[in-house]
Amino acid sequence: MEPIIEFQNLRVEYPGADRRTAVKVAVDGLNLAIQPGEVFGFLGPNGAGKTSTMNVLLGFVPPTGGMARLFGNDVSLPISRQRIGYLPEMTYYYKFLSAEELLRFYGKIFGIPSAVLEKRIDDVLKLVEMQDARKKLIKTYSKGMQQRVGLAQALINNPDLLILDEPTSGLDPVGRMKVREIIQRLKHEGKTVFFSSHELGEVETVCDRVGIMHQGKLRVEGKVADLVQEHGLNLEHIFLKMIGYQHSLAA
Amino acid sequence: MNSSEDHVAARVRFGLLVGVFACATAASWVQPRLEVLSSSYSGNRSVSEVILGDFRQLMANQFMLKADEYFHSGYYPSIFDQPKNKSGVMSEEIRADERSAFSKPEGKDDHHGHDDHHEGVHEEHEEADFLGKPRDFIEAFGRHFFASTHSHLESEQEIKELLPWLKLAAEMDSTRPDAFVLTSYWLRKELRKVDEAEAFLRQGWRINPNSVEIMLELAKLLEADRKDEERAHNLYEAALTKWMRQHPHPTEADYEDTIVEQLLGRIARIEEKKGNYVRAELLLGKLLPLSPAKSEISEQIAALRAKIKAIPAPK
Amino acid sequence: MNVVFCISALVVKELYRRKDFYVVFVLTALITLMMGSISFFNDSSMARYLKELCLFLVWVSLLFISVGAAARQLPAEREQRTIFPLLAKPVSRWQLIFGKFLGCWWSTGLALMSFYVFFVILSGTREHEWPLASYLQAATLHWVLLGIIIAMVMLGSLVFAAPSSNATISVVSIVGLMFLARYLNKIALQQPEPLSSLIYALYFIIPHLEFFDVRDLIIHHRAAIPWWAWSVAVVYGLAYVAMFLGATWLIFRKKRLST
Ligand SMILES: Nc1ncnc2c1ncn2[C@@H]1O[C@H](COP(=O)(O)OP(=O)(O)OP(=O)(O)O)[C@@H](O)[C@H]1O
Ligand SMILES: [Mg+2]
Repeated sequence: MEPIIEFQNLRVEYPGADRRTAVKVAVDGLNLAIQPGEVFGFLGPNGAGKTSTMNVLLGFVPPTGGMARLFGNDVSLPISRQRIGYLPEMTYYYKFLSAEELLRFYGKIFGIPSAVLEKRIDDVLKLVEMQDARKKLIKTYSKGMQQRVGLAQALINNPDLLILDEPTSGLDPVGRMKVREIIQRLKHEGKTVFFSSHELGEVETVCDRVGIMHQGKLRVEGKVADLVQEHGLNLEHIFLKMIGYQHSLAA
Repeated sequence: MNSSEDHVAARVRFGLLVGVFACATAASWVQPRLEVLSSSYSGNRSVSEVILGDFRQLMANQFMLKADEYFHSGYYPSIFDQPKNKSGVMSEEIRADERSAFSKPEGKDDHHGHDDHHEGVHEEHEEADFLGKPRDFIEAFGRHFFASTHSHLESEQEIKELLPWLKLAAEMDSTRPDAFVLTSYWLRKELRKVDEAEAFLRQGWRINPNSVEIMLELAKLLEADRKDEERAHNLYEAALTKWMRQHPHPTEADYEDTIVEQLLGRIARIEEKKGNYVRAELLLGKLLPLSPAKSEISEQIAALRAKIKAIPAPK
Repeated sequence: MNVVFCISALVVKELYRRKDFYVVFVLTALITLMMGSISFFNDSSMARYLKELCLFLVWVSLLFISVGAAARQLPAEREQRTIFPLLAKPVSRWQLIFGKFLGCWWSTGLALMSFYVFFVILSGTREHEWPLASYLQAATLHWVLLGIIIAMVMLGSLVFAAPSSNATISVVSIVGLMFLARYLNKIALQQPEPLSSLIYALYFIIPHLEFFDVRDLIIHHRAAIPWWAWSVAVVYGLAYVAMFLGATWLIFRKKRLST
């Protein structure tokens, strides 16, 4: 089967602020393929290159080298984004709109017919439990509420692939549980989910496969159970080992 | 906790005190220098007055130009279109009109005077066509988008449209007589609002008691519209005296100004009416070198001389 | 095209949720009506000075409204990072630019329409004349001009770092073009040779914004512009819009999204 997401030798560099500062290599030779129906957890410490990888997938940043494909299309084509839902790392939404208006706007961009769209708006708002505040302007929302709106907009087009950058950050425990439930439900519906997280427990429960990035390189990748067996450690310790933290662990 | 807060408060208070002191020092340093600066170029006026004054003059100028532009229905040269002569400008056109009208008594043939004005304007417009031939296709095309043909006010309503700008100009800078004179000219000659014209002129005269221009216009108003030849005569004479006093040694340029020409002509005509032919002849003699209508004046002088001869010499 | 319309509708919504337009409109109407109630020498039937004042206020207001709106669009998307979820949808950068442009152009067009309706009613009730063809020409040309301005400012918003400096530079250059462009050929003739040709070349390159300012014609009841000339001017203006938008796209295509 053709992978939904495919990276080959992906390299991402950020130019320095001026000529003297060196370029920053954010992703260095990433090879990874994600199959339809998989839930993939993307792990790594701050600054590892997770967001940069996702930015390439969405066409925000052109790859410096290598290539990235979505549904077999080059990521630079807008059409490759028709069937994906994306939740950015932080909440970036139009503050002068209400949740409902924001969802309607995005839905129309996907070309969803009005009648279907209104129904979907109701559904996703119910899913993220935001029906009560749907008519209020986003600028009046708390951070968690904004994160919920973000999740709702990622689901508005009933996507086949979800790219979620730290979906549970800023959510209360109920919210986190809810996100886990949503991911599991999508998996049952046969959707693919590619998400980054710092919550190892959460990753362990919902993911089919995980990958751990460190300093732009993919250090390890595989099924959680296989990794645990292979290293004889739990996921948290594998993570710490991969990022070079084992000395202090031993101490 | 409390004591540290007190400490902060004390520091803030000290800082404020230092700040106030610094400001006061700076002010006392700046103040005399500013005064020197302002008095050096404006006598006793304060800086703000100078700036405001210049601004008002500038605005008044702008409004006068606006009136002129309205007089030509928007067809008006910018600083980049250098007109060959000043004949395109409203005050000049009116002056030309006045010049040709001076020898006839004012008011008698109002209608004729009106036509005459327009004819004069049309003759002049041939020369005043400052735009010339377009230099390139952009310029040629651009002429569709602004007032690029000569045109003049036709109806009373159109003349009225000048008044707001003239009034604003006079209000902005009441020391420029031309705003009062022009306003009065249009008010009395075209709109027949003699009362308003007189009130406005007198207001201007109060502010500019030395303006010969305003006196001349007021005298014209008295003569033509109030039919008060006596007072008009006195005012003409006063204006002439004032002019002489202001120009003890008149130069060619002073005579360029049609004011003295008009005064001489008008006084001469009144004197002639009164039978003071000798004085009339004297005044016309002074006028002769100044006026463009030399043959006409020479004829008038000859006629006067004949009249003087006809008078039997006193025994 | 659907995407472009969605984005432009969003811009219209944003601009009308801000209150600046209403404030400017009410202010313009108030100042005009106040000046209109003055009587000069016991006569208050003068109309042209009032038309002039009203049109001047309309021009200044619309200039600031359109520059303000256009200067904000792309920088705000980038600064507030709303551009990320938006471009994660099937939206190309060209569609984003064109949608933003259309949104600004339509909303300033709505503002322009309300201003001109006010103007037409004002001058009609004063002069009892309704040269609607001339008014229509003036309004449409003005609208095309706003299009050029918006496209130009959007280009500027990618070139200059801060929206405020972009807005200032834009306003200065627009006013400069309005007043000077027409005379550059005459200025060129007064210069020594290398400079002369240079200025003349500039004269042919720069957008002649003065074509779109026909206020004098409607103030002084001049004849309407021939429709062919009007059409040429509209096409000329739209060509500049296309050029500015094309340049904006060329720069934006390679631009990093976050600031
Ligand atoms: N716009 C940018 N310009 C320059 N450098 C950048 C930029 N964005 C990211 N980087 C650098 O690239 C590296 C990877 O950043 P990235 O955002 O991908 O990390 P991350 O794995 O998402 O981290 P986090 O867990 O904190 O979200 C970092 O070292 C960061 O400093
Ligand atoms: Mg990140």
